[in-house]
Amino acid sequence: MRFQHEARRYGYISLPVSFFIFALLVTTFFSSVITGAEEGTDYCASLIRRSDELALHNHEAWRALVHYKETLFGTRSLIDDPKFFVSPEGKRNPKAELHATIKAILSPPHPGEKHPVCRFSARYQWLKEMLAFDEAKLPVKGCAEIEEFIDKISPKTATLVFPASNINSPASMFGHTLLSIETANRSKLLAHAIDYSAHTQENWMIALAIKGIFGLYNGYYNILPYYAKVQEYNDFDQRDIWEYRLNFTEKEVRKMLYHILELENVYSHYYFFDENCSYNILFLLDIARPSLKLSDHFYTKIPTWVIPIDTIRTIKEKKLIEGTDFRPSRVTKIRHLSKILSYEGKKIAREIINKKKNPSDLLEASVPNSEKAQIADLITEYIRYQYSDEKIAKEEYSSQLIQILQVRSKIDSPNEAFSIQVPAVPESGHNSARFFLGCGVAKKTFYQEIRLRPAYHTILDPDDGYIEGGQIVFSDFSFRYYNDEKKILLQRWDIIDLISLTPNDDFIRAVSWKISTGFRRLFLDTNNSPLVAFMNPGRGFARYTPLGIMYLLGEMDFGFGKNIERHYFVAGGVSAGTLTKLTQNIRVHFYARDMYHILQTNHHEVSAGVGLRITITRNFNFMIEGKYNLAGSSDFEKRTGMFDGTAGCNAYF
Amino acid sequence: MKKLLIVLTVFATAFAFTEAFANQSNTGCGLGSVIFQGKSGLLSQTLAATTNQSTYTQYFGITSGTSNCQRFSGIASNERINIFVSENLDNLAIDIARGSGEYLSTFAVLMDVREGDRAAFYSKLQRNFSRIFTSPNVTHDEVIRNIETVLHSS
Repeated sequence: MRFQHEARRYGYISLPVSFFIFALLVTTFFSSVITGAEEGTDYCASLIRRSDELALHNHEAWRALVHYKETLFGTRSLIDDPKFFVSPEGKRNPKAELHATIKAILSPPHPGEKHPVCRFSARYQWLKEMLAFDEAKLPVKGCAEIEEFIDKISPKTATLVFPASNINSPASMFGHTLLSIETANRSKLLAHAIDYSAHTQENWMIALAIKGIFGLYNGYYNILPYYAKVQEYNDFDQRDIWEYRLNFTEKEVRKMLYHILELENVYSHYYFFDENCSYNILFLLDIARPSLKLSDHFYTKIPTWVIPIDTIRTIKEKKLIEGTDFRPSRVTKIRHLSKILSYEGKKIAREIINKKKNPSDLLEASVPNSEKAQIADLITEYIRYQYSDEKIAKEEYSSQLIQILQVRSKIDSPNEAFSIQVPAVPESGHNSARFFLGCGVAKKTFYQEIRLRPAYHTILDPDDGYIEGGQIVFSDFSFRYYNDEKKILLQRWDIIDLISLTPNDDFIRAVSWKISTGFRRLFLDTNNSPLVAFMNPGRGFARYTPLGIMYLLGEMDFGFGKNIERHYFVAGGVSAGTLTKLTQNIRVHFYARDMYHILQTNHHEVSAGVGLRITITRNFNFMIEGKYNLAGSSDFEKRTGMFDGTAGCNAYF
Repeated sequence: MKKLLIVLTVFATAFAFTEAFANQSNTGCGLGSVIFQGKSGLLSQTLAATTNQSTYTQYFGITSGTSNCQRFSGIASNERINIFVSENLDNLAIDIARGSGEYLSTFAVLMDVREGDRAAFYSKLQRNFSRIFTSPNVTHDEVIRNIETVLHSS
């Protein structure tokens, strides 16, 4: 208005005519802009009114778009990066954020700045649909840049990818999930893999763990070619990959992509147990189909932590899965090939690997062509395994690889070596949490026992969908009520209990190990089993035998407790056992352990026992455990023994 | 003796962990170069840094790949082929030697080989493996050039 006024005044003083005309033009221009702006404001106000009438700020799609959740402190977005919000109150106030977004969409463009229509294209697309925008009244009519971009990618289908855990690496503990978006050319390797992870340069593992648990890292969504992820998991981490094809339509996948673009460089605090990789992937599925409300389901469930395999189970329940594909890791391939090869074939493979024979000798070997191909394939996989395990240097690796491949290219046999039998799908395994109810006898008195653990799997649990010989236990409580003493006692609390029995065979050489920490009863004599805090690492090896997996571990055990001599103990010893699958449904574990306590005078802690599990259904089984404890000095006469037997049922939920 | 055992215990614990959290980092070009680095430490797969934090636009546009190898700018200047071959050289070599596989079929897709011609394409590459992968130090642009030569010779 001020400009208009001044222009008129200049005109009035009647300077040259040309100037007058110029002033007139300026006047007309500014007044038209202002009328336009007023119209825009009206339109904006009407859209905001309409959004209030429809209560769009409470709409499931809006809640998904801005990642809103009902927390203890009211509504909050789980995104922490301020640049994800248009309104300063956006993180806490869905309505304010919605109004601000509508205003932003209707704002005139500023040169050199990304217009909100481009910056928040998923929100724009959704609002356009809900409020039926009159495009003529929009200052910026859609975002050509984004549309072109997505057209070029031409997203078609989405797949949820689950790299199963590699039991030898606690880092892969629960597995991981990511999303891959396949494009028009339908080559899976060229798909776009989207995952959510924390960005850190931290190398000190304790700091990593602590910061990861308490949300001190920022997590971002990342995109990489899917082949890079396949290399990472299959080839280097030796993890089998499961791919779950989702039944999203092309339109739904496109919505996902709009949202992924909104999340570029936007952080939220990463929490290892709940707001983790698997949880954040669920938002993308909710965006594609807001009625799924997957992120709500996992936010409100108890316990609140999100285990990747549980998200797959839920997605299956919601009927999102169209089909499953299996991508074996290198170790799985090696184990498969060494199983199907004849004795002669394995011998040749070993001789070439040990450089007793040249790779080219394979061509003259007296085995059928198809087996020659398998031998060459086994050697190839083995060389790569050694390299990724840092057993050989790059120069040696590439020269060995070229040599064996030259031989392989001369064997005209189809690549059927990897018709690997697909194992039981991970989601067919028992649920993650377990409740045990049983009774037993110890110290010649009866007791009742309950155990409860939120996660995840023991070596005796049914191992369909899990890795045989692997154990990951978090916070397993065990309470006993002794009938004679009429009191409830904490029997043990395994805070962490990991076991990795990786059987060695002709080609795979891996260490087996265990580590557990928590509280348990230290058996001193029949009437004295004080509660102690302990840490128990062990290291050794395992082998496949006709009896199952046999293992031998050297163990250390140390800890402290109020009611023991010197208040702490240190022990070393060995343990050995076999883990046998009697039938599909029955597994038995025999073991023996001898630990020598160095601080208590000549104290030995010897135990031998058996565990038996009989599966009834996927989530229900019977378990019997019997154990004989012997404690005392090296002098056998002075030892006291005690039998402790429990029988009961496990229910997984 | 007691002290020794304590030391051993601590050592064993540390050792059990280092084994489980072993690092992996290889760089460079050609066979045996891996495209991701800095994969170390606890929880790396789920928590620690992924590869470089490149912008999405850069990634989708595939104007620059994740590896820093020199690009072949000759006849097969298709950027996507260049990047795919450089980042999957080992797997592609294996598939070519075997005459089939997912990396080879993806390569055929990128090369625009028609479905009907693929079997012949695969077997031609397999037969000429030694002409394509000429030495252990072969780089991806040499491989692409050699493939072109093989395809053009009849």
